[in-house]
Amino acid sequence: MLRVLGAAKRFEDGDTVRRVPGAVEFDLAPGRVAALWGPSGSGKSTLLNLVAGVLVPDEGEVRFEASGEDPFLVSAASERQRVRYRRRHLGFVFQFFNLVPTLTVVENVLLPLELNRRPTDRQVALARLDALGVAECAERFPATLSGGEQQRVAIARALVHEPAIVLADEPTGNLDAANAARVTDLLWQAAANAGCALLVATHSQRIAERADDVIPLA
Amino acid sequence: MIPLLVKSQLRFAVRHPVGPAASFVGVALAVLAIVTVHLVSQSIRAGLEDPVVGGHTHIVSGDTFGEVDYFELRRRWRSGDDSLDGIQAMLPMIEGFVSIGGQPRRIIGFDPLAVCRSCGVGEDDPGSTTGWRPDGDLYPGTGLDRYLVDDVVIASPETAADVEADGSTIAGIPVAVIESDTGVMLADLPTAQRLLGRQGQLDAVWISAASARLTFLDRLDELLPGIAASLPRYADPVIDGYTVTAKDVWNPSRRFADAIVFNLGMLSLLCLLMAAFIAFQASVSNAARRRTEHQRLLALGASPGILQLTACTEGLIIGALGSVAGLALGTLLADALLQSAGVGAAASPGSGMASLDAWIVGKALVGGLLVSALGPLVVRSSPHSRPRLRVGVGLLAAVVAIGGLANGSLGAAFVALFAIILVQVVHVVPLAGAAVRHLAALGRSLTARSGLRAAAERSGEIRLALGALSIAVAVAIGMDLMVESLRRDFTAMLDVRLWEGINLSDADDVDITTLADLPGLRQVRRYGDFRARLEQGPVDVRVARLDAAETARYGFEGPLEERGMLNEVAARRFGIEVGDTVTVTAAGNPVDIPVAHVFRDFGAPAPRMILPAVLLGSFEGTGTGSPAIRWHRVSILAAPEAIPRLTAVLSERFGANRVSNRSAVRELAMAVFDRTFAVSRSLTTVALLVAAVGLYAALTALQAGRAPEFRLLSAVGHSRAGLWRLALSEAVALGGIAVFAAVPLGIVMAWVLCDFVNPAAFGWTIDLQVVPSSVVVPALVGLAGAVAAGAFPAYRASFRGQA
Repeated sequence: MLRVLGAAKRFEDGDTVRRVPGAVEFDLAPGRVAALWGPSGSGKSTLLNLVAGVLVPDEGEVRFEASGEDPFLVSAASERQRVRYRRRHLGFVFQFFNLVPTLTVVENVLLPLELNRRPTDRQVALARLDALGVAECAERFPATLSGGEQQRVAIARALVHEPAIVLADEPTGNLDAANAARVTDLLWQAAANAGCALLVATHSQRIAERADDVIPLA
Repeated sequence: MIPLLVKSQLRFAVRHPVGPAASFVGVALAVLAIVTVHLVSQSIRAGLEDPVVGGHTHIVSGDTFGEVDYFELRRRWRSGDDSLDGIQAMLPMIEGFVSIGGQPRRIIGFDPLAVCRSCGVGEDDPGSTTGWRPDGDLYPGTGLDRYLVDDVVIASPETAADVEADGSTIAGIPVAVIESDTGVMLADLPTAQRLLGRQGQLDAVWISAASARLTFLDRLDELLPGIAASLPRYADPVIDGYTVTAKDVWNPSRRFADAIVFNLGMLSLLCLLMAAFIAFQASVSNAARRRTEHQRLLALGASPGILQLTACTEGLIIGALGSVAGLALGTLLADALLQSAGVGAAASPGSGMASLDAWIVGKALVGGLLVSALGPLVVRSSPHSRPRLRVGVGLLAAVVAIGGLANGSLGAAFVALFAIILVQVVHVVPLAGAAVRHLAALGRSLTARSGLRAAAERSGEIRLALGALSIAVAVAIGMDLMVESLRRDFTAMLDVRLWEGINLSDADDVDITTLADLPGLRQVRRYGDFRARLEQGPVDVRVARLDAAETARYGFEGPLEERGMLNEVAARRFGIEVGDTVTVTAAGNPVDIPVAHVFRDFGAPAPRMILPAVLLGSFEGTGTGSPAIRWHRVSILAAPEAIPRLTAVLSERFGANRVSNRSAVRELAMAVFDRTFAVSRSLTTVALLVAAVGLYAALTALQAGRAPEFRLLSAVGHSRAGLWRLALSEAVALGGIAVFAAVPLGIVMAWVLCDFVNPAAFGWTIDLQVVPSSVVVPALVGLAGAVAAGAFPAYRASFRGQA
C-alpha cells in the first residue's frame, strides 16, 4: 500500500513560493492502477520522483506499507534506505531515455535483479521479453530498437524483480497512436499478471480513463 | 560491485574514447615525469655525492683537534659518558690531497679498527661487534677496507695506473694499491698521515649517532626524491668541548644535489597534480554526459556510491595502463636526458629498464592509480556547487602562501607556490572568464561575440582543465624567467671573473717569477686553497693577492689586506653579514678576520672565503702547524692575440693537461649550466603537454554538448566552415583566458623562485629580470596548445551541425 499525504516540493521564484504539485492525497493498493493526470508543468513527474524517493518532499509525506514489513516513511528515510526501497519495491518506465544504452536488451532487463543481489537468470529475463514480444531483440543494443520496442523492454525491466509498484512517467508520450495503445495494453496486462500496483503519470485522457483511480493535478 | 554497471561503464568508455584517452595520456605523462625525475635524480646524486658516503652522521672536531682529543673522546665514550650515549660508532680520520701523475688526488685516511665501543683497538673484528660495518657503510659493497694495512691504499684503476707510472710511490713513499671503483683514495690512518706529511695529526672523528628521523626521511626521500632536502636530518648530539657538525654541512655537494633533486621532484609533483586535474575533469565531463543515464539508474535503485565505484573501476584500469606506458616512456626519456647531459654511464647507478627498482615501479603505479581514481571519487564533492567552500579554500590558500613566503625555508616556499597555484585555479581563472564576458561586446562579428560569450560561460564548466593549462604556462614562464635571470647573472659573473687569459693548474711547483719573460704576458696571479673552520661550520678558504683589480672581480671596490670576503652561501648559512668579524681556524690557529664583502658565487655549493695572501702568516703560531695550502692555480693574463702562443709555450713547459684557456672554461661553465636546467625545461614541456591533453578532452565534451545549438545555427544558414570557425574561436578564447591568467602567476612564480626558493635551496640570490621573450614564448606555446587542442573538437562539432 502506498499512501501520499500532501507531499510536495517548494520552489522559490522571486518573492513567490510555488508548491509542486498542489495539495494531493491518495492511497494506492496492490493490484490497483492510478493515473496522475494533468497538463505539462502540473507536477506529475515531481510527484513520481517523490514517491520513488528520488526527491525528498519539503512538506507532506509518502508512506509505503508492504505485507509482513513495518511501514516505511519514504519522505523521512535516509538516502541509503530510499535506495534500498526503490531497488526492492519499485519498477520504473520512463518516457525518454528508458534503457541504458551501453547494455544489451537482456542485460537491461537483468539489471534490477543484479542491483537486488538476486540470481541473474537469463531465462527469467528472456521469458519476460517473450511475454512482451521482444525476445528476438535480446542481444541487441537499445539504439537499434524502435520506440515501441524500447518501451516494451522497459516494461519487462520494470517487472522482472517483482516490485510492489510500477511507476510509469508518460510511458506512451513518445509513441505514435498504434504503438501507444499496444504499449498501454501490455503495461496494464503485465502489471495485472504480476499483481503489482501501477501509478501512471499522463496528460492523456484516454489513458487516464483506463485507470481505476484518477488523481487530477492542476 | 555490480558487473553489469561496470560493463556499461567500460562500453561507454569504448564508445566515447576521448575522455578516457585523455586520462590515459595524462596519467602516462605524469608517471613519465615521476620516473624521469627519479632516475635523473639518482644520477645527479650519484654524480655529486661524496664518494665516501659513510655510515657516519656527524663530524666531531675542535679548535685544536688532534690525536690526544680523539683518545680522550674515545675514553669518555667507552667509560659510559652520558653525553656520548647516542653514539653507535666512532672513527678518527684525516683527509687531504696528494699529487699523483701531476694531478691532485683526494685521500681519506681512517682507522677501521677503532669503531668498537666495548673492545680495545685491534682486538676484534670491527664489523662483528658494533653494527657499523666499515665495509658495508664506508665503502658499500667492496669489503676492501678490511685489507687496509700500512702502506696500502685503495684507489680507482686510473689512479692505480698513475701510481704505477710513478714507480708505485706516492709522495716518494712506496705503496701497494688495491684497485676499486672509487673516486677517492682510502688508506689506513698512519699511511694517510705519512702520505700527507701530517704525522700525528687528525682532522676529525666521524661518529654515527642513532636517528629514527634519518630512517624516516630516507624513506620519504625514496618516495619523492629531494622532498627531505630542506628538513633537518639529524638531531645533533652535544659533546662538551667539541664542535659537532652534521655530515650534510660537511658534505655540501650532497646538499647541492638535494636542492636540484628537490626542484625536479616538485616539478614532477606538479605534473602529477595536473594529471589529477585531467582525471577529475574527465570525470566531470563524463558525469555530465551520462547525467540522464545516471538519473535513470538512480531511479532503478543504483546508489550514488555504486555509480562512483563503477567510475573508479574504469579510472583504475586507465591508471594501470597509463602507469605502465609512463614507466616505459619515462625510462627512455631519462636515458636520453642523462646521455645528452653527459651524466649517464659513469655516474648513473644504472640505466634503462635495469635501473627500475621496486620503489620506482610501486611509486609510478600507486601515483597513476591514485590520480586516475581520484577524479571519480571526488567528482560529487566538486566545488562547482559550493561557492562558500571555494571562497574558504581560496582564502586559506592565500594565508598559507603568505605564511610560506614569510617563513623563508625551502619547503615553506614550495608550499607557498602550491597555495598560489590553488588560488589560481579557484579564483583567478574564473575572474579571467568574467573579464572575457565583458569583452565579448567588443567583438566585431556576431560569430566572434558568440564565441567569446560561449567561452566565458563555459570557462566555469572546464575550470580545472583551464586551470591546468594556466598553471603549465605559468610554470613555463616562471621557470624560464628564473633560468634566464640566473643565466644573465651567471654570464655577468663569468664576464667579470674570467678575464682573457690562461689557467695553469696544480701550481704547487710553479715559481711565478720564472713566467715573467713569457711573450705577451700582462699579469700573473697565484691562487691557493686550504680547508678551515669558522665557529659555525667548515669553509673552503682561497688566498690570493687582493688588490683593487682582483676584488673588483667579486664586486668590491678597493684592495683588501686585513679583511676577507665571504660567498653568499656562507653568509646565508652561517648568518654572517658585512662588518662582522669571524674566527677562521686552520691547523689549530684561530685568526679573527673582519668580513668586508659578501659576493655572489653561482654554482658553488659550499661556503667559501677569500683572504688576502698577506694574512697567511697569521695562521702559523700556536697550533699544530701551518695550514696545508694547495696552490691549485696560476692565472696568466695576456693580450688576446698572444694567448695561442702562450698556450703552446706553457703546454710545452708544464704539460698540456695543466693548461686551459679561460674562454674554454667559460664555455664549459655555460654548457654545464644549460645541461643542469635542460631537465627542468623538459619537465615543463611535459607539463604543457599534459595540460593541452586535458584541455582537448574538456573541449571535446564541451562541443559534444553544443550539438543542438550547432544544428540550429546550421538550419539558419551557417556553413560548416562558419561553424568550425565559431567553435575554434571559442577554443582560442578559452586558451586566451588560461594564458591571460597565467602571465601574472608566472611572474609571481619567478619572483618566488628567485627571491625565496633559490636563496633557501642554493644560497644564491638572483635578480629577477622580466625578459619579454621568457613571457611571450611560453604564452604563445600555451595558446598554440589551446588552438591545437580545440581544432579537432571544433571540426567534429561543425559536422554535428550538419547532421
